[in-house]
Amino acid sequence: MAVVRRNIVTSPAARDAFIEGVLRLKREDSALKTTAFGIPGPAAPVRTYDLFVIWHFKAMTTPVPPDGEIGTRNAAHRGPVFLPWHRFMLNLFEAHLKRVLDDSSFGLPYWEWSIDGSLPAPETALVWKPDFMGGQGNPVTDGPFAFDAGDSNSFRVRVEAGPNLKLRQTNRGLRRAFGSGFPTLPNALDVGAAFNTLPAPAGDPDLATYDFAPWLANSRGFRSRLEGFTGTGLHNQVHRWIGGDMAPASSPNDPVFFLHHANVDRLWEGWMNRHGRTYLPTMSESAELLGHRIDDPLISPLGAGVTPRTTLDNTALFTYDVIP
Amino acid sequence: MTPEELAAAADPATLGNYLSELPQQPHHHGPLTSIRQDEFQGHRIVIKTTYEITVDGEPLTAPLIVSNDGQVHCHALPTYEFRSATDTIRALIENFPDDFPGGDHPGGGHDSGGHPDHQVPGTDREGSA
Repeated sequence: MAVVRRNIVTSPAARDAFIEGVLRLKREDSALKTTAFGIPGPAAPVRTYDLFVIWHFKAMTTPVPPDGEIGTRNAAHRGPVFLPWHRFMLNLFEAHLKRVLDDSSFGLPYWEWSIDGSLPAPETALVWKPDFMGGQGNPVTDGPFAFDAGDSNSFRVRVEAGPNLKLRQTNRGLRRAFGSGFPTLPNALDVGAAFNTLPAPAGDPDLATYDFAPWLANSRGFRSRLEGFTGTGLHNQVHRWIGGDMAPASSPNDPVFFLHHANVDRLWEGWMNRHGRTYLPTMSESAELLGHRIDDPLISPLGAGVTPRTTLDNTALFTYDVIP
Repeated sequence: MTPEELAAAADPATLGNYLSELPQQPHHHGPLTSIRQDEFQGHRIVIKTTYEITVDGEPLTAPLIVSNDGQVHCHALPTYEFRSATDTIRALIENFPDDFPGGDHPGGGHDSGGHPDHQVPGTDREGSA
């Protein structure tokens, strides 16, 4: 049965379950060591939660095409597969949370950041209060993911990407620096503009199409708008506004990553409600785009069974309480 | 994809073993070279850009590339694009405080608010993380 993904601000049950599930995944030993992933240093246990950090990093550092630049297009970003890949990542994360919570009805909550982006001081929003995600700091010192140097069970970042874009071990608290990379969150007007397909200058008819050749970060269409390379920043602006651990390639280190991407996914679902469950590019495009075409396997543990096409209609898995 | 298929895949070994079998990152030594290519009036243009960067005299092997529109991107900060390499390094210093000890901002100073030096909406575009 499909679960319902709810707004974390209006669903205390979903909020509390999410926090508890994250903390359990953070404590759970995956039985693999850091050396299995080429992370330098002595072999250290890798928690299940941190597998998602490594997965995101691995996808982000896989260039498409294989001899290309990861900063031009990679296996999860800067191209059409951005939304399908993150949808599947959320689906698997949600399945892990169901497992550790022993609750098949659990639905991953989302953070509707454009509401907070309309506030004069977004850092005062409910989501950053101690009974939600906690606030900012280096390290974060309040809320469920606060750092306590004397408590080895407190939330710790153990794997991170450095400035040379290599994964490395660490042992520190979570970092957030609101406004450090961009002064504001996207607001409701920014989201509304992404759905406005009226003729220019009022809107942009290209937003009725998922993506366009040459399938790059800033190509025309809805995907690049939602990813944040055209128009206002949307997804990318949220990462930058939160800052700290949300800025590097290891951004799933902050549990807010999953709430943020659930909202991005919800916006994509809203777009598909308007324009159909369509996706581009098709398989007629060059194999140089391997990984981004509709029937290409995603970088995922389910191999050929998960492609962009298989993510388009996931209504058997989840729905949202409100779809824009 | 069904809930049952996802539930069956939701064990640490499935994801962990898969990730451990993915190719390891190649080891880069020395500065990276960014290559821009274009066609103009029947001419083939290739521009190679190599940054050799030091901070406080220490080499920094951050992967900087330049796009055809002249913006600088460093995938260590995938949500950023910059107008200059200098802005890029400033952002790296701010975002990776442990890698740049000393200076006027020991510990990274992540308790403060914005850093307006490289926040020009509309020109300083975002990337994806």
